Amino acid sequence: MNTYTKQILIVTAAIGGLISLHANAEVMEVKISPEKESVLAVHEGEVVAIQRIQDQNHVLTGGYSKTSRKCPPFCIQPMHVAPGVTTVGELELLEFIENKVNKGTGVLIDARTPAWYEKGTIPGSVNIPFTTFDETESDLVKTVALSKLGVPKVSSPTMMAKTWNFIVKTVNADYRDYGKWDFDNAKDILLWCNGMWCGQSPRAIKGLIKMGYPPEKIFYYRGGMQSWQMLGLTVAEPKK
Amino acid sequence: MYKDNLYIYHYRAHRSFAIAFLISFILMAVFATPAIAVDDAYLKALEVEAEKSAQVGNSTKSINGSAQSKGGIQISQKEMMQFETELRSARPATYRFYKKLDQQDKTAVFAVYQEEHKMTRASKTVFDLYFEKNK
Repeated sequence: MNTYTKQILIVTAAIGGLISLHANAEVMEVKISPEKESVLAVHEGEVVAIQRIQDQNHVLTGGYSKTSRKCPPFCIQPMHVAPGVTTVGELELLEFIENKVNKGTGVLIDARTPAWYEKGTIPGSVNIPFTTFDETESDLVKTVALSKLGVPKVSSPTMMAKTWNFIVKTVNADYRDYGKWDFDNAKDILLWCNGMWCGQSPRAIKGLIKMGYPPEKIFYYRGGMQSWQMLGLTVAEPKK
Repeated sequence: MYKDNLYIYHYRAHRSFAIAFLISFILMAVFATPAIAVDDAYLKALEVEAEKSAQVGNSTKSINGSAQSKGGIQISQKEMMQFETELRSARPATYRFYKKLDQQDKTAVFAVYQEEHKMTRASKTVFDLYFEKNK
């Protein structure tokens, strides 16, 4: 689905929502914020209204109500995952959907493995598992993923870039893949995973930075699916 | 004599190089393998955890299924009213779209809901029907 179609869908839904709001002046008791009741997102070609569960007695059950998991590997993540990367909360994420994802200038990334994604995701997210950006992953896989983020592969890296890559890679383990991809028009990206105890999106972020993705274009939703569900926000089940 | 010394020198140099290469290889094998093993263990732990984590049905909005009108289905008005109350409480924004549907579409939404008693599917049907008629 292209950005234009996505925007048409959102505008139609927004107008529909406004008309019905006017027709049914009911007050939603559990809003997102004092001014905002819902946010529209396009998920796999469908418009989804992100809102909160209205049942004020509702409590979480299942996986996301669990407090303790073995650490390692499920350890508490820092607030700041890497220099230059901005950590955000739910309101900033919703703004990101409205202002960036719906307009085609940003990508919301569910960085979890497919087994998690299939259980439900934040509407508007695309699933790019964290392993995609590991050093061990092939350039082909990285190239396909990066193309979704507005980052094309450089047809032939310059000799200087190749030499620099070789030197840095030889002397320093913390190298970057200079010159392989063109990050000039990289989109803003917001990555998330299961929550404060989940290392999947932090690892994806570190992998992206190593590849040369500008950190100031990366956002990290640390609360992840656990905080999302804790607030009763809408979860989308991917199409089978 | 000079040739012999040169031969010995080359032999020793080659031998040192071979030993260094062998040691590097062993070190790489020792240190690289656990990194991969740790990675595999992490992925395995993730899969196990994913399997253990059940879906949170009440806070899950499904976008599966398609809008289908169920011809000839028995509709209980009482049950339909209960469904509408539940939809209004659980999905107020969706309920507003639902209210804009005509009676036939509302019945279709209820029919979808009755199949599995999943609010998520009903919600999806509401949007499908609404946008089908408001393209």
